[in-house]
Amino acid sequence: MSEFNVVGKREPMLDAWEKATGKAKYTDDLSLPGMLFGKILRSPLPHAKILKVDLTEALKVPGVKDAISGRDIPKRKYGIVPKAKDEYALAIEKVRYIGDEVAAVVATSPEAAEEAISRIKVEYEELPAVFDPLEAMKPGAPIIHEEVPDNVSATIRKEFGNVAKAFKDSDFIFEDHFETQPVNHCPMEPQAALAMVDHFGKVTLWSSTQIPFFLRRNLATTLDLPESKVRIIKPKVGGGFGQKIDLYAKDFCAAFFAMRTGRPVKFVYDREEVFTCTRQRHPMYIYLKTGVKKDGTILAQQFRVIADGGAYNSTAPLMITLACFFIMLPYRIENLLFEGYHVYTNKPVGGAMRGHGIPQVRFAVETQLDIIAEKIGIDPLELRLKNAFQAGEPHPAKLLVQSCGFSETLKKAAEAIGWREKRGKLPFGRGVGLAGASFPSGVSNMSHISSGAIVKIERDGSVTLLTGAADIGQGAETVISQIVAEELGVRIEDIRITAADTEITPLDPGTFGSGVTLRAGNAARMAARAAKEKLLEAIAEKMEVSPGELEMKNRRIFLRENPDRGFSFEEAIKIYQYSDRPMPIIGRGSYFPPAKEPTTLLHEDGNFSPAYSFMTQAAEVEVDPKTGRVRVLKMVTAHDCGKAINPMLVEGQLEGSVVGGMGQALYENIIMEKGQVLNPNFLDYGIPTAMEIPSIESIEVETNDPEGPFGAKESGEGTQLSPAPAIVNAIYDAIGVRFKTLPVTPDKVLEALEKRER
Amino acid sequence: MNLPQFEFIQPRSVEETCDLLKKHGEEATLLAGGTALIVYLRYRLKKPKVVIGLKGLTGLNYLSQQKEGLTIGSMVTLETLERSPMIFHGYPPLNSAIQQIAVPPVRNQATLGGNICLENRCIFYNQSEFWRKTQGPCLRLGGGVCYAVEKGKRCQAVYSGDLAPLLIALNAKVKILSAQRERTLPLADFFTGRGEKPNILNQDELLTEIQIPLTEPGVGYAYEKLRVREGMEFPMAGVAVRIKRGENGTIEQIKIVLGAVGTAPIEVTKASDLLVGQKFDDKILEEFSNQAMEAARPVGNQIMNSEYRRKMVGVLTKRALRRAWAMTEKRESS
Ligand SMILES: Cc1cc2nc3c(=O)[nH]c(=O)nc-3n(C[C@H](O)[C@H](O)[C@H](O)COP(=O)(O)OP(=O)(O)OC[C@H]3O[C@@H](n4cnc5c(N)ncnc54)[C@H](O)[C@@H]3O)c2cc1C
Repeated sequence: MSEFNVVGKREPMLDAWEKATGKAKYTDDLSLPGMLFGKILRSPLPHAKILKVDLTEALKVPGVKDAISGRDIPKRKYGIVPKAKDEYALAIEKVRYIGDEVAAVVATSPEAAEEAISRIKVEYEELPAVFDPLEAMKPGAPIIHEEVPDNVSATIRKEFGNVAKAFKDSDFIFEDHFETQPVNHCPMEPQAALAMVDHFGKVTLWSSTQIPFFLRRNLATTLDLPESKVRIIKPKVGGGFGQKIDLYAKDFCAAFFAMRTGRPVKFVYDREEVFTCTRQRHPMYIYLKTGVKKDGTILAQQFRVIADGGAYNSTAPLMITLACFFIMLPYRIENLLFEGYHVYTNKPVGGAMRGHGIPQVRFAVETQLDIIAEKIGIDPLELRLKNAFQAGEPHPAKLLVQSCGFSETLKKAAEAIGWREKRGKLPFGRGVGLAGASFPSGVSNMSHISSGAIVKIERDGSVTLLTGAADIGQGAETVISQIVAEELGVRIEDIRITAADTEITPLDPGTFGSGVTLRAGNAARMAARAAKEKLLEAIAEKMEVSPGELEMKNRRIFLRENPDRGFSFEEAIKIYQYSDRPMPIIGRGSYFPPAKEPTTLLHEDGNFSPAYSFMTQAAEVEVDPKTGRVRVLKMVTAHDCGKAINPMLVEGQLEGSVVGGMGQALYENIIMEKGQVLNPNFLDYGIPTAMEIPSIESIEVETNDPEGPFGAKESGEGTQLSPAPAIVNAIYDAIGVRFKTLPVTPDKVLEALEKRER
Repeated sequence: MNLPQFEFIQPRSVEETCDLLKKHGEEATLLAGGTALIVYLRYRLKKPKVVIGLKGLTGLNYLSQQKEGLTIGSMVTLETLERSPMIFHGYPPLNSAIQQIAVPPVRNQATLGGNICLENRCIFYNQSEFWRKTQGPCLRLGGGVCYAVEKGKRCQAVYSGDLAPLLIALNAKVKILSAQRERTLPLADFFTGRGEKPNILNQDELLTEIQIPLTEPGVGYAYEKLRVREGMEFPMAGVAVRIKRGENGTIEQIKIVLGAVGTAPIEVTKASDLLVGQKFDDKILEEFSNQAMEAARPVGNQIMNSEYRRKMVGVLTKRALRRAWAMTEKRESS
């Protein structure tokens, strides 16, 4: 029997029923009396000075209540990384990409708002634009932000060990160039916001956000209000994948218009806006040089990475830093030279997306590892096992890895895909491949990174849980409830959870960096423990034992040594009350990820995350040599998530992640012509459909991390790092063609096959 | 993207529909399942004053098997066709072609009439009003420039319906009705080859019926669609074939019709002219496939590059012919 009652169980998501029956309320489902509908006017030009915005005609449209342009808003920049703020809620002096926000209106109907937008007259002076980061870096290229004359808005250059020497000591040196494409997050729910202002001038904003508390800060900044005048409530959110960590014009405009008009205001983006005017995964040019010994030991790696950032920074410095540091996991890379550049272009903006800068470099590394393996005659699996990082090893950048199941994930994934029987042995057109990765479980040290929780044991024996954690569909509320239920020895249905309301719930940084379960889970567990201690104290007094002798399980409090002696949960609460102790029983927890040498990595090395997850993806593919079409037949994902609090939700994360990775490998690509997105819709931008999804085998490797709640680590993002290289490696095994540019579309496959024949 | 303002009228009968069409002329548009039209309206590619909804009609929703073949009312949904045992057993390749259209929720709404009357598509045209502002209006919208074909002088938007090529291969006919007259013509003659106005319907006309003749013994047919994913994709190319087996394994008749590689379904005329009477073998397949590729007119108006699409026409032609030929074998023995 398992030692746990609720943790480790396949509990259905608490809101699964609500969502499956269409009853769940997302931001766009909310409405308030007298609500106005907003719409944003966007730039049709990739780069231009705004000379004049004339709102007169828009204001004449019946139903229109207000209109603003960039000139009407507080001149306060925002950005997700404090030192990289470069954006106004509406463009003020110039527009920097097609879709940049220029003006906005509110009206009594969405139709009137749309009509009004078309009546706004804007005079632009078009400026020369630049669409390729390599061009943008050249001297004399158009300058996109005056403060950044070379268009390179974030740079990192790091050397670990002695790279020159290590290359000298290498038996083989490999050099390759890789390219990755822009990919959109495609959350099912488009970005939306609804704002209301009360008599005291306080703004309440319901927003499809991943990070309510960060949003409060950014929104207060842009509105020029104190944080106390802004309340953010997160309703149901239909997916984020990183795209909902930024503040968007819709948040600002809803709040700003609500302040101006005194009426509730709603903004909802349409799919085209989601595709072109939110965020996307950064396309990258990657140069990679690797030195290895004859036996396959990796001695050194050198990178030059150029990320196309589009028109603004968003997470730029963090993204490029993560790309650098996560080269040094899951393999032992003692000598590394990394140069990374985040470059502005007149294109849609790059931002955090599941894996945050790492999937791109991982594609390069894992593809090259297979090239190396072939050249030096080692099985790619063996090569990876040989260089696999192990728990407790000293890390060149001082990451502290306390638990690491990487080697085990490699072996299990290989076994499940049939590596020994299939690799190199399948008929032409069929092949298998694999690739590994590692990801942090949240961030150790950055401002604003603590998480809090409150647990109240109520008189009827139910439990109220307040957490700041933002459930965006991944099941955070379910998992945190499980943790509290386990700690208190009650059932999950005894827990009522209120989450992600900046006015009611304690601080939480939000959903990013795969830290929610570890961080908010630990906070909730601490809170549950604190409440439990109070209750146990009363019972211990009554039973004349010490609290330490008591156990709380199955809704009972009893003597550990003599389980028959004890009370039901309800009786215990009565005893507590009749002992003249104050009600309600409240426990509080505040968690800050401890780390010996915590760091943001932006300035100095140190330990970035309280725990690291490890994973291997393996793929089997079939290539039609006549059409070049690739079908993924099977994906295996073996994941060390420490401990699966809810295996079903972990599998959900792994499967979703794998499918996203398949999209990057084979199907998805934001195609642009002179900064204009040619495929801003689900017809022309092809995410994998249910028909493409192969059989997926998820293997959980449990390592019970000492820092995670009940041993848990991340399972959200890591899995999206390596499906693409696994698939690309499998394609090589199938047809002997190596792809270094994503996505691998049928036309490219066919062309490569034809070239090889010639 | 919201719908524009328009008057919505839902006639009860075919006659009433014809009267409405006559009355409103240019200002009216027909709405069948709406799966294509609603997008057009949201994108402001069409700005009708009046939308005539056909869903309330009785009289265009029938599917019957006669001596001469199938007759299908234009308002029959693709889902109904897909589930019809008559089609499943009698016209299996048609069933499979229908299953390759869009996705089940779309097929649930979409009609056969709407599918045949689909407007031609182009990546530079089928975009939102906001999107089109960046470049300015294209040829089809009254601007002077074609963004798909450099220096293009006529609209080359591609006919992307999946069913017309196969129905043409099967010698289907369509019935067209207006307040004044009724006419029946081969589906092949229904298309104009003009990107901006793909079919011959006059403003006051409506497509009421599709007739699919019985296939004779010894006939096999097939449709192959090029797409990257298995769902949610218009064809990047489509090849429909119909082949009749003659004595000793020779080809007695052949018809190859290409879809989505031109402004209308393209019949590969050379195929039927030259190659009948020959044995069905790899060599002849190669020739058919080359002729099909030659006849294809893909231009750069889709995401997928046109050279690849042309090449695939060749591959699909072979695949379709093999399947159709196998069908003739099966049919002979049964
Ligand atoms: C996501 C998506 C994917 C799609 N994929 C495919 C695909 O793979 N293959 C494919 O072929 N199509 C596809 N389509 C297009 C479309 O859904 C189908 O072609 C469908 O059959 C159109 O039928 P409808 O009844 O919805 O037509 P509507 O949208 O109602 O009408 C389409 C056009 O035909 C006209 N029309 C309709 N009925 C008549 C009539 N009886 N007489 C005269 N004119 C008429 C309308 O005025 C309009 O211009 C797709 C559409 C979507 C939204």
